[in-house]
Amino acid sequence: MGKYNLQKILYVFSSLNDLGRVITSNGSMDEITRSALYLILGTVSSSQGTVFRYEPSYSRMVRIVQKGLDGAVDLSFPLADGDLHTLLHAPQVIEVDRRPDGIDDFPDKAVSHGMYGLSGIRPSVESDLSCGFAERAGTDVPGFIFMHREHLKSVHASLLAPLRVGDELVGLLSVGRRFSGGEYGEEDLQILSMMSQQLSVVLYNQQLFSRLQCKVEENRLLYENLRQIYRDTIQAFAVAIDAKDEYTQGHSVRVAQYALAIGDELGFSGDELEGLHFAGLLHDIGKITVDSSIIRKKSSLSEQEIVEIHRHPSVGYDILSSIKFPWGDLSALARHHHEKVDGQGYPDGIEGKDLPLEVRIITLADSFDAMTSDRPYRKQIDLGETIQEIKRCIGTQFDIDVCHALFRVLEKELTGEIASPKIIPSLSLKYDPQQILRILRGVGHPFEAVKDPG
Amino acid sequence: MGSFQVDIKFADDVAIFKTSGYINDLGGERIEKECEDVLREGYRKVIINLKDSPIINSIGISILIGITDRINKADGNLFFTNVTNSNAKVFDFMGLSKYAPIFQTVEDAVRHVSGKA
Repeated sequence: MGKYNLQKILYVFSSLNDLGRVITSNGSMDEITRSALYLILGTVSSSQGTVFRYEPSYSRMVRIVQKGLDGAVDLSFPLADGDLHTLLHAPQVIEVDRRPDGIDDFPDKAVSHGMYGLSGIRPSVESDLSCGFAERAGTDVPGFIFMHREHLKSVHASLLAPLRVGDELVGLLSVGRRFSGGEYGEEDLQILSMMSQQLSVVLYNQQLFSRLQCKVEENRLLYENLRQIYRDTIQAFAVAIDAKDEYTQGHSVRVAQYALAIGDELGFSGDELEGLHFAGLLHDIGKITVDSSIIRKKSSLSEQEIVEIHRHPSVGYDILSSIKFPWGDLSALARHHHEKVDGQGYPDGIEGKDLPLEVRIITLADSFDAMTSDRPYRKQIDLGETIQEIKRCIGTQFDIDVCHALFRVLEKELTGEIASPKIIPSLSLKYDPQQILRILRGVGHPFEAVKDPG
Repeated sequence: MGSFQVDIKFADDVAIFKTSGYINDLGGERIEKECEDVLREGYRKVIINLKDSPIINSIGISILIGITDRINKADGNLFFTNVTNSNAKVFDFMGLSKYAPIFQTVEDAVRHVSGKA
């Protein structure tokens, strides 16, 4: 550093140190890039500079940060064929407006003049102006400057530093003329070379981050598609299950709706709630293996037929347990939807709180729909009677908290407190709302006295 | 040092800025903004008192270069005062002092501006 005194060398080292600190700081990418540009300009003494980011998908340089360029209008410019190769192989710093003696019409006859790495060795060969730019193969820096002269003029480019990491172009740094006048010295070019390589890392990190964000978004969409496929498949299964019998038409859909309403009341949300909905749709999937004649039978079932129908929760479990649902394990919900809180249900006779809350919800939703719908062997039960029957079975068949939740939802739906009711509109029976409300608000809430066996 | 601050006073047709805090990050751009405001208001003589800004790194220099450039383009005059010796050397080799002379004190700069020096 021939002309550099100790003070200036210290200043440059301090700037390099600051640049490292800025690059590794926690600021936003925009703030880091801007600080880096300011550091560079404040080190090589220029009032004007621009950082372009290379957008490979559009083959464009897009201006992301600038300083001292009021009125500069060119925000981006496209790269022509060969520009990428040129910028990848050009010297680390290109002097845009250096011209041989006698050439004044910059940049129409621009020449490049660079240095390589940190060696400080400047190529002695000036570009051959007689050689047509378009005809030059490989690294055609003069061609690049000529082609983009208007854009480079608009950002007052005096020095250019292609920003690259490995064999990837990530951007371009343009630095305006020297503030103090005169040409940049070789030392300035060396400093710019060092600092621009650090700036390349900033842009490369930005690019990596942006790619990562794209990948995350891509995966999110794929995952959402997958979930949609699951939803569609489950809906189709639900239709198939209910199609076994005209009496159970819509049963799975209604159970899913009721379970959703109760779960919502109990504070379920997001995936838990959606899982509950799909558990409702699939709870009877085991019935697809049960003979239709048994399901449709109007008279009492034989012992053999009862065994057969009691198999459907286990069969449902076997069908669903091999599927990894995004909402958790739905197979357990299919297996246990005929369990009772007193342990008298089937197939496993699990008691009270040992039954997952979701199971207790599906069990109640299933029974509520069974009671309020016509069945081959009986007509639907009146809504008031259904509520009384559920109250009667609290602590034996049903969980008290889940029943309370159902009653609260019914009350809220009847009084219009819930904007989008899910249970009342699905009921096919007639009822007197005031009578139902009286039952729900029954004096002393008789079901409160019932102890939860769990 | 706390957060960066700029106080502005006016003496006739001179705008006098007093900075407090290091000028070593983008917070220093506040001087540039305030400077644009006084130029818009018609002031063309600006003094920046750096007594309470002993640390100025290359981001700060870049900001001060920007201000100097702006004032020059507006045919104005910028003066720095109370610059530490080491900062004065930096101003020198970065070309700042060529366009914006340095004075010991604000009073010296005001005397110079009003032609009483």
